[in-house]
Amino acid sequence: MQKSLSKKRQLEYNLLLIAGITLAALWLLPLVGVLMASLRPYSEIIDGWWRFDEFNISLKNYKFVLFETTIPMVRPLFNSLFSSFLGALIPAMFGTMAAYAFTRHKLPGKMVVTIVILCLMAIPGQMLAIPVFKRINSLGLLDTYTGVILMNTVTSLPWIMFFMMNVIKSQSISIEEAARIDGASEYGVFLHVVLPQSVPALSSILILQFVWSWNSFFWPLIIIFDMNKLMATQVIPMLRGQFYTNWGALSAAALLVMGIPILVFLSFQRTFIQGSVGFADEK
Amino acid sequence: MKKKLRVETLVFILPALLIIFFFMFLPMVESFTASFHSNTDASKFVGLKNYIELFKDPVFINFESIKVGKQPYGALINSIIWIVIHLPLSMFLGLMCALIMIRLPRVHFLRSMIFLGMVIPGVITGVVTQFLFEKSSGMVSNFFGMIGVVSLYKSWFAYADTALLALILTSVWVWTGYSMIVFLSALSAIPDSFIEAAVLDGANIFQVFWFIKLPLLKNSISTVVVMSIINELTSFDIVYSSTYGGPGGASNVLGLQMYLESFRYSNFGTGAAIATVMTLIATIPIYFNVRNTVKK
Repeated sequence: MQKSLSKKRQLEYNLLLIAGITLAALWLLPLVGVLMASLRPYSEIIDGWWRFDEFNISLKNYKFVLFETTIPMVRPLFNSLFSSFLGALIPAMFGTMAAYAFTRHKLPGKMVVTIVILCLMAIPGQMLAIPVFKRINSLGLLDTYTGVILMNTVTSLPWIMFFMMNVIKSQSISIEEAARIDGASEYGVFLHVVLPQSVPALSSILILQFVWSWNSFFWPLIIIFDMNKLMATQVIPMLRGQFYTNWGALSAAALLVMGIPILVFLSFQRTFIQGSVGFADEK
Repeated sequence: MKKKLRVETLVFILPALLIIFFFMFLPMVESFTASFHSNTDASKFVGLKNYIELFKDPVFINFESIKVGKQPYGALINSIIWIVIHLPLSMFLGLMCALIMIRLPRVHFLRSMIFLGMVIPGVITGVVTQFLFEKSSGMVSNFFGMIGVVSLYKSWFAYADTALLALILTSVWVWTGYSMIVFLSALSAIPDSFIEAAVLDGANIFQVFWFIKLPLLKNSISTVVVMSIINELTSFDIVYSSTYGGPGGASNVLGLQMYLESFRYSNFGTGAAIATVMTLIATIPIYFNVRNTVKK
């Protein structure tokens, strides 16, 4: 009896495992296709990348999009790397500072602040686009990395504040008070007590926001025009011809642009997934 | 003592508050007022003219096509169709994946593979769309060719009746990963003892799902609904980088039309009016989101 039950369980587990692997493989297939198209000559994949009668691999497409096209990808990739790093660091810093004050200092209307932040988190970017474009223009920030970093900061501050308010709320207040009794200033308490305790939360914010800044497209499209300052995501639509698309080059470029976020994700899978749920769902 | 604390509080909150005020709060108000001002002269008040013209514009909503039942229906209707198809599909698939993955904790990377679509840039999702639905080299169109559905063995994004659907389905591919992880986090919070007790009482797996798991997933369902609606309503990157709204406006959506009106044709009044319509639609999910979070 016991034995047959465990056998049944084993069978059930195996069936689930097969279902799980099938689903995961199915979801991965589109990206495998892009990878294949980027590595193999166009003549081989024109009738489907899953045909392997001929199979040649070369990095020619990558060399082409990185160095030889009209917009070599090296520069945009570097631009994105640099501005996404700052586009994560700056809002993380300002957001944490504000979250600390809103959670621990005596401020009126905390409930109102939470509600306003929740609303701002969900405002369509389109609602900001025209006035922001005009303001950035009048500040002389059009066509600058500062403009892009600024907009990455603006759009991420609400969720970072929301996230950090929950994190700081859950931290014990007694250590902060002990530090205050020992004569630490408010800045000292923030730097030496709150920040060290928030390192895990901060690192997941940095990871998520780096990827989201990297992926952003709408704001760079409005702010950057100079061919030397383009973000990596901006290059992709430009590679698409109106009448003819070089699939090999397009997929190689696509793989380069999604490679960074995928690498970051694979290195920090659990943090990334927990963070993505957390910022929307945390109590 | 009290005064000193105030200065420090300001130092902590001012950078964030100033940025949010000048680049979020003020722009929202300015967009709203711009929608009542002329396209050609931003200082001239025109009342509801921009909105009235918008609803007369077949690019925004095409009553003739709706009557005939053929694309292009216009950006507003296409965005609504997008939400109506996308939301139940991605939620159902996400729930299915979550129910399977929760039983497979030792092969964690399987969930990561399904979540991968959420990690890549929206413009790349557009490339993936073209790559999946192309006639000769696309997997989906070839699949339909193989099983003998000749009407779908074509480049989906080149035809008015299938272009929007191709975008929506690729977007489902992306967002299934999101609803999966939200459901997974809720499922893993259900104590095993609940399920074991029910099984001992003779409940089968469907009863366990319907009477135990589903009621405990209520909050996650509302989270997924709210987040998906807001994201699908504003979708832009994927459309811009694949169909650009074509052919003939058959896959045009609100986000794209707002961009074109404002930044290609410089009709700031019309652009602001579209943005305001989008925000008005978004207030419904925002309201539920606020209510749920505050209740917790």
